[in-house]
Amino acid sequence: MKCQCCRQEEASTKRDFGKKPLFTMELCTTCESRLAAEQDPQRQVLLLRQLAQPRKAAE
Amino acid sequence: MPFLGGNGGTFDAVSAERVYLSDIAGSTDEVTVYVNSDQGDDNNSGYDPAFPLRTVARAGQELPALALTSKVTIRLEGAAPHQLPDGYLLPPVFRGVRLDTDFSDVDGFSLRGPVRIYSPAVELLLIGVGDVVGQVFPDNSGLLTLQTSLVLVPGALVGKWIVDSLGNIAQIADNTAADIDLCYFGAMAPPCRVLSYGAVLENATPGFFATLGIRGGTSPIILQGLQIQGGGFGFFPSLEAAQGQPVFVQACNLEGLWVNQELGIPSSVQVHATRLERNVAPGGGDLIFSNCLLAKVAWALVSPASRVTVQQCVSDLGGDPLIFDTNFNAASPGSLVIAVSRILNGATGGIKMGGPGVFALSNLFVDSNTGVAVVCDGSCSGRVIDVQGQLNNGGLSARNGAQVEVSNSTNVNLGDGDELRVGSVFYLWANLRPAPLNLFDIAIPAGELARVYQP
Repeated sequence: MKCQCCRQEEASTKRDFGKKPLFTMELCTTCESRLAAEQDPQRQVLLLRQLAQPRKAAE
Repeated sequence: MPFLGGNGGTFDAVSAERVYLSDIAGSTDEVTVYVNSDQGDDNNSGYDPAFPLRTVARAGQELPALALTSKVTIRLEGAAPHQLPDGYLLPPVFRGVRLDTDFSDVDGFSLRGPVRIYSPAVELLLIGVGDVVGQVFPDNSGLLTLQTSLVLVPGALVGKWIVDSLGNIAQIADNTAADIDLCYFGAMAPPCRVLSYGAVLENATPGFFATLGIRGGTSPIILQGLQIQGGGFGFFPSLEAAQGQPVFVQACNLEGLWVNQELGIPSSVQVHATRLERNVAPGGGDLIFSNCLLAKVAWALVSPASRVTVQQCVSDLGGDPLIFDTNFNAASPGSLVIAVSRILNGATGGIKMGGPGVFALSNLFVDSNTGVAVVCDGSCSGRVIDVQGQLNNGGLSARNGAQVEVSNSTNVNLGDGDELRVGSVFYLWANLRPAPLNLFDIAIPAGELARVYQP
């Protein structure tokens, strides 16, 4: 399965966002490592959108 | 040097009206752009109801130029959902024009302004003067229950809104076969109309963005009578406002509302008579809910710079408590005011205040929450005034340094478990309060930083 964030590389891990969790995504190692470095949930959302930009442009 | 709102150097008090009153000559012109998802065509002019546009995005292209000289209404019709691409941004409008109210609006709304996107409401039910047999206020929140002689399908009116003969508008929180619970304080003036949304806005490709983004403009944007479906992953919202953008939402149905403070500029969003589901993210700035039904709303991404007011609302939790915890980023305190409201059916408690914020809870009925009704945790401080309830597992809990003022009517029935907990010590209200009460520091156990007091 492709990474649900960048949709370029193969997904290798599931990641929960938020404490509950708020939602779950399957990510590639590149996206996972970049998101893992950010603890602030608001900034995580902004980062998620940045990482998804190449996909949006491609579509 | 002239003051704002002054004339020739003479000081004149600055009022909210004057700040908004930057109308220029000709600003009273009004223009309507028609959009019909069934019969419209984006090659039409859109100014004639017989020749509507097809898409909201096409109407949005007209917006900045039209708004320079006119008040603009974008009127949405058609049974098919109006499709928007994920993360659609309404073009920003830079022109202050004051807001007006019109309580005689046949479409069931009361706000007018520089830019208004709306759909005519669908009337579901007329409640005549003779159909109303009583108006009662079942608990200390003061919210109204309309007793009728009608035979209704229980629950069928939830999420619709009601308008009385004076133009007062509120969401319907629940209904039985004859009674209608309203998110409204005081009596209504029948006849009343029960209305529903006239158009649906849909995210064509739900992803990481809001279905409708409004940011960066200075003119208030008004949304009325719209059901806006959320973004992707069951998490991203219907509506996101950012960068100083004022937004007024009236009589809508939203799946998620985020107010973001991008570039350090807080936004101001007022939500009236609206049903909100999914989540709310007060990410900075002002967020005001009035006469709303908050149905299974998760409070996510709360930023310390947020000021949130909830009044005349019913929060039917069905899951997490109403969490206002600013702990994750303690740059500056946020504030939370909840008044004249009901907090119901939380799976793990009612209200949780955390972090370095201030709060005021007043005239609340906290009912049937599995968990403690009100938790004040961390370095927050505030007032819990006339907060009552039943069927919670615990009443009020203050811990880890929280400073909580209570009143006489913050009562013994708040919980059916432990009524008051300060730090690790439990109390019963009855033991603390031989009437009449006027106690300071009714509970401050040794070794605990948390404190509950009644001046």
